Amino acid sequence: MPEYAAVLIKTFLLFFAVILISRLVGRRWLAARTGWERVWMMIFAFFVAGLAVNLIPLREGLLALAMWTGLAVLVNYMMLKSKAVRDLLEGREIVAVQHGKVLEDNLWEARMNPEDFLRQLRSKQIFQVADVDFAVIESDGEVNVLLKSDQKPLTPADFGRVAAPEDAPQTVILDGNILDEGLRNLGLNRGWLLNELEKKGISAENVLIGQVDSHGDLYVDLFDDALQVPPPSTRQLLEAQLEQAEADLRSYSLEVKDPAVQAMFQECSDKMRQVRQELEPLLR
Amino acid sequence: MTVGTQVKKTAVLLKGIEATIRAYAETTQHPEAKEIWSRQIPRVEEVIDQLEKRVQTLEREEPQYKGY
Repeated sequence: MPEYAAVLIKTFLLFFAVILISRLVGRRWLAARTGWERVWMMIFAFFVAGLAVNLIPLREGLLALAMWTGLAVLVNYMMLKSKAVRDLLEGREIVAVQHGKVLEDNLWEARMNPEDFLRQLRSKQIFQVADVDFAVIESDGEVNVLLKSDQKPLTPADFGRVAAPEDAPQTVILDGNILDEGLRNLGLNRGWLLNELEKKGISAENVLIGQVDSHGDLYVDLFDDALQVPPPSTRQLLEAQLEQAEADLRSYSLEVKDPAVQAMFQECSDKMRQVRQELEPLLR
Repeated sequence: MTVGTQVKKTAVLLKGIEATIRAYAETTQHPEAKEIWSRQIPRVEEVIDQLEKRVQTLEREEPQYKGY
């Protein structure tokens, strides 16, 4: 066989072999959190490249590749199974800040100087060490921080406000194509989607991205940027309607003379207010 | 506009509200949210009920306004 043909064939096969091996060793390995995982990838690359261009003889090369991959899979598996193995190979997290106090000895143990530590904090938008309550240096050198309670970002719980219970939104249309899986996850079907699209006066092929939130409202972004589709406003409308109903009932209670009827209208108004208040987080 | 007409209008508004709430109770997947929506339905129905009774009373008292 002419030499160049051999090279072409080997390269072609190695290309797909690399994809296969990558799937085999798994995403945790490919994330290469430790230095030696990164070295593994470089050596792996060398083997593959060498094999492709006849730098490495075929049999020896394939053997080396198989061993290299096999060890990776083995070590990965053992790290999954045993914490002791993981600690040995990866190293444990090192506490850098405890109760607001920086532990310099631990920084030394992590071979991190204070300047690098501050740099890591800055990359997390933390410019004051005084704001930090607790911090760890992970096995790959990344620093993760727990801020002091009064420095933490606000949450709805801090206001005593109830946030609406929500699920993740689903993408149902991508590049003009309908994604049935997204619809299924929301308990909806194509019929529903086509109906919603018709209400907006567009068809699925006009839509670049279509998403449905957990309330069931459809948001679309169209291919044609000149065309604007108004966003769903049913919930805002509902809120306005609830306010109106409450106000109407209240005014009726003020207009009638009969106290029994007055009480009835007032009670109805109060009921509607209760409905509105309970739905409030969902209508935002 | 007579009082009867006004009350009828509010009843219609409330029926629309009930339909919207039912639709959301149906399509929302999150169990907590679903529960919140569903909880409102009987309340709205009660109010609609009260209003319709009131309309009937009004129509009996002033039959000349019936149907408006």
